[in-house]
Amino acid sequence: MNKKEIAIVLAAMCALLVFAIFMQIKTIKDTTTVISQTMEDNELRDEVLRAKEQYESLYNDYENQAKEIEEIRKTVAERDSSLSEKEAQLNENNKLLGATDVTGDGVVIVLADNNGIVNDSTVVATDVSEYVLHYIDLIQVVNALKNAGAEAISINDQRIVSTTAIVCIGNVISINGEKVANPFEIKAIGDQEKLYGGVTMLGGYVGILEKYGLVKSVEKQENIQIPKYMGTYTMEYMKEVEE
Amino acid sequence: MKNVKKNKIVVSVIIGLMCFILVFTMFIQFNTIEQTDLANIATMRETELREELAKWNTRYEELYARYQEDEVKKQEYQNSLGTDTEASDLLENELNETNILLGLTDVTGPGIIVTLSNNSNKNIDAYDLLELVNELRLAGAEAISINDERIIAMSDIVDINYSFIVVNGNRISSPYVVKAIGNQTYLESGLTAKEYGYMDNIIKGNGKTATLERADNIEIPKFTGKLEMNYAN
Repeated sequence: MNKKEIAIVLAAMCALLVFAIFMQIKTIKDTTTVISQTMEDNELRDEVLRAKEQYESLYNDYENQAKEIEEIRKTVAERDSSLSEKEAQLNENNKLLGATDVTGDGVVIVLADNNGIVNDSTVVATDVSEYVLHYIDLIQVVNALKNAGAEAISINDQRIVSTTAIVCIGNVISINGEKVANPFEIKAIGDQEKLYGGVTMLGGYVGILEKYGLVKSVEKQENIQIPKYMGTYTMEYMKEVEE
Repeated sequence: MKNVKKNKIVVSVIIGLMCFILVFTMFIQFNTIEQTDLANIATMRETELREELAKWNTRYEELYARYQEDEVKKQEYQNSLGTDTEASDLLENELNETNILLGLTDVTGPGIIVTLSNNSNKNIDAYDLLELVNELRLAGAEAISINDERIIAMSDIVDINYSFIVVNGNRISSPYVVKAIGNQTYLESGLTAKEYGYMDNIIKGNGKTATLERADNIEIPKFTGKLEMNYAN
């Protein structure tokens, strides 16, 4: 290899590098300049991104670890029938805890703000609130689904588990600590007829929402997929009562 | 003469390798940036950003604790591959833990007790209890019961003809004793926030009656119904 060749190769690599750097600068610019107020905000933003990335990479490890444990458990259980029974029960329990994605028949309800009225300037502001979905509407619909025997429920892919709170922070609804936005797709798996009958029941909560034009659709669907709960359970304060 | 040539080649190979690694890491970075929802974060203001940062840090810590616990579990399972009794114990422990989390065992611990009762003007209704349960969950309650009906993931709370309340398919009536196990400070402050808190807003604001107290050894009974999934796989 002579000097000329080396120089060309190096130049090409430098060009590629510079190009990559420019691209990156551009992406970062695009995303922040629009609203960038202060340096401090940008630094905070970077920190949030980093914290989130860190969490996500840990979650990845956590999932892999869970798979490994499941594998070892299986190997252990295969050697003994009493163990395999326990293993089956444990898997069932994990399913009930919402620790797995589940599929099945059920209903899907789509709720959305009544934008026709919300954007109508002739409507008085105090009335507008009635045409917008609130956290309590979601709680009530979820409660109606539970009453109709739902086995698994999610709202915009947030699994509803025993510790799930549906709250309003500012004017954003948060479920499991995650922000969810209008429109809301509520999925429920269970006995289709019971679920459908339960939510469309005369005088039921969905009927009330319908009057305000907040219900986009209520449909029976097959093979609905409901994702697992992404959080963790804690047992810091409660202890089992010894018999 | 030969040595000089050899050195040159080595140098250029090293430089080439370094450049390659640099470019590679940059591409990795592009990918991660793309994956995270920048648009969402870009529109946030300082207070929101701080909250968001705190949220991810807390979550990281919680998950990390869990991860370490599971790492121990994994090791134990691996070690148990030689002996059957140990493996059986491990499975039993795990099974037990999930049973507790599912609400299938009686549990005890510190927490708060909220007692809601009908007064001469206003009755307590399902809405009051739904809001309360939601607030308690937000404050990190680990176990909740209403008049000894354990509130589990799929528990429902409904009014029947505005005359009584049904929880888990069982009829309950006033006074409604709502017990929650968890961090007492979080549980209490979540409900007693001035004006917008549950006690002021939902209870007093609507002319209803409720009292709140801390208790150290609350007992919450297990869910007595059937817990199974027949439609979800």
